[in-house]
Amino acid sequence: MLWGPIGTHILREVQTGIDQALAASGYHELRCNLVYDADPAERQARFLKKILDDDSVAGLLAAFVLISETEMKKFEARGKPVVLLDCEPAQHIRGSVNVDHAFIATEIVKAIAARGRKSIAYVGPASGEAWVWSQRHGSLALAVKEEGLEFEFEMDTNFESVGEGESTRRLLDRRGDIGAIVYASDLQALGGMRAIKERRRKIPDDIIVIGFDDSNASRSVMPALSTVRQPFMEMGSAAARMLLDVLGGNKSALRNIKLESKLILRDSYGATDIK
Amino acid sequence: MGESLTIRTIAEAAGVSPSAVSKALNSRPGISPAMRLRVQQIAQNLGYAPYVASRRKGMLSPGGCHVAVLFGPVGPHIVREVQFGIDVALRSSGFYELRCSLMPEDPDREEVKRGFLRKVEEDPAIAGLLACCVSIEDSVATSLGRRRIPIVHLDGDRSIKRGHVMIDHVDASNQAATALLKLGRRKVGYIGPRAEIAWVWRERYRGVEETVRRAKAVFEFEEESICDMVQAAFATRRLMERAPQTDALIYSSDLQALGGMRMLREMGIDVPGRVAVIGFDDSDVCRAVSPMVSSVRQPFRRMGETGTRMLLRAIEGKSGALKKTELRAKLVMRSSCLGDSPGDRWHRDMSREVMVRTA
Repeated sequence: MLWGPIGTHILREVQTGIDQALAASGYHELRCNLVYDADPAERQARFLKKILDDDSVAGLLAAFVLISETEMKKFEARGKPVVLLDCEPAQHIRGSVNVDHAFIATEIVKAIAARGRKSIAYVGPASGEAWVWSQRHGSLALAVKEEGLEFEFEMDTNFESVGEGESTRRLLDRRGDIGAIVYASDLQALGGMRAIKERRRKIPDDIIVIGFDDSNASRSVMPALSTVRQPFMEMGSAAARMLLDVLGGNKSALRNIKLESKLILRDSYGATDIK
Repeated sequence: MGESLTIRTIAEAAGVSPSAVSKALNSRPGISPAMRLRVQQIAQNLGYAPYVASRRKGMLSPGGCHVAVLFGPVGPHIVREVQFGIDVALRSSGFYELRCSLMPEDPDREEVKRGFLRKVEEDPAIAGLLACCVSIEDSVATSLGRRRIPIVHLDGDRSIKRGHVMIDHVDASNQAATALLKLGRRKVGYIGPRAEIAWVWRERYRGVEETVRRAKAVFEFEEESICDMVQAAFATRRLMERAPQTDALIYSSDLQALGGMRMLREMGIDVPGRVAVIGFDDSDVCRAVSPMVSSVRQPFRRMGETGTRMLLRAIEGKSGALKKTELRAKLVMRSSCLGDSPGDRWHRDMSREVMVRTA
């Protein structure tokens, strides 16, 4: 199991899904986590070489990393199946479970447009950070344009804690008239909501706020935060089960699956039916 | 694979002295970081695996370089923190983690545990075992001991004296209760799991009860065993209806504290004016709500990291590596406890990590 650099709140969800699937299988996870690595590429290469040669390793799950086609072919040649979890897809690869980023981006934009907003901002990590971030950013920008609205982006790589809302202040300085802000995580959104309140803008009357993750925090703030429940646990268990199926002899088990996220609208969107 | 490597072989390949190789591979000072890295890389390319090195002096062989990690059925937020500490410690060690996590809801988890430990006993690639919040049977410990495979326990049974990194849970809840008493609160409620469920809950409960009773203050308890936000809200209402004079509440997790604070607000009870609140875990949500939640920060990440480093030292064959280390939790006071009375200000001055109270 190769883990690319990803927030621990996401890792924990995927991990739980994998743990559940592996629990009764007789297989165990041999783990390499590239988080906070000085030279992740070098360490990834070393790990891949090791598991390729290690006869006790039956297959590979790789999450949030880029595996080259050359590497994939080496595993194929050794008869070791590979399943990729939300990785940048190399061409002609079978065996992947991805989150459908385009689907949820469209859902979000449609919901915001239905409230008559003309502009939408995204606050989060820049595209280059990792596949998942570039997908989220890219598909939001595209969905906003397709809906005929204005798109704004403010970079903020700190998605793992409640920040001071600096990025939101910068955004509001630039675009005081913004109608909705989507954040890369709930925690980031909470910091942003503070900054919005400081500026005496009303949520959701002036600005609709939507986070990501459907964390416990999203339900405990006032107004309750609208958010996206992402299928990360399902992704972990689906990928692990797919790999186990192949190892069990079902050669056609390797497929490319896309999982849909769910938009949960609460008070920060103006939904009064859900608290 | 299989043939042996010597320090001399690596020294020749790297074009340095054998003593420089030894320094590089054993993390001893005396060579430049660049050379250390270069030697390590060359050694790795030759198939060097660190643990066997120390076992047969001067002889190196590829093969065994896995650390087995077994997680007991604890909450995923704890697993996440401990795992992170382990990941960080293993990062540049040359070891990889072979992992098994017992799921709280899995009825067959004893069978899963037995299967994993059987593998650990038989697999020649395993160099050591980390047991997190889970007991290891004597028979397994004995057979690993015979193969000189060290075990380090993380938050294991209190009686384990060697190879053990633990958190002092009694002290943690004692800190929370003491802080509330110092703020002048005299009727302290605890909302959490029954004491019998697991020793961590037992100790946490004990720490609160003992401290409160010792101060001759009133102790109230309301059971909420599944650490759920909504259930904790109901437990809060039960407790406040039964004992309306309660002026402080300790929750066994932040999540429960959030549910409780929401219920208190709906009941028209001011926090911290009438009731001061402290949670456990110091999760991010504490700073996301208003008033911010005071919480006991538990060093789970450090426990994972410290335990892993201890295990790696033991694998290297360092004598006396397997110690007992007790880590202290840290109370972070925030506006769910601190209003603006003089007593609060005193406490705020005493605490380095008070956050700004939000409007």
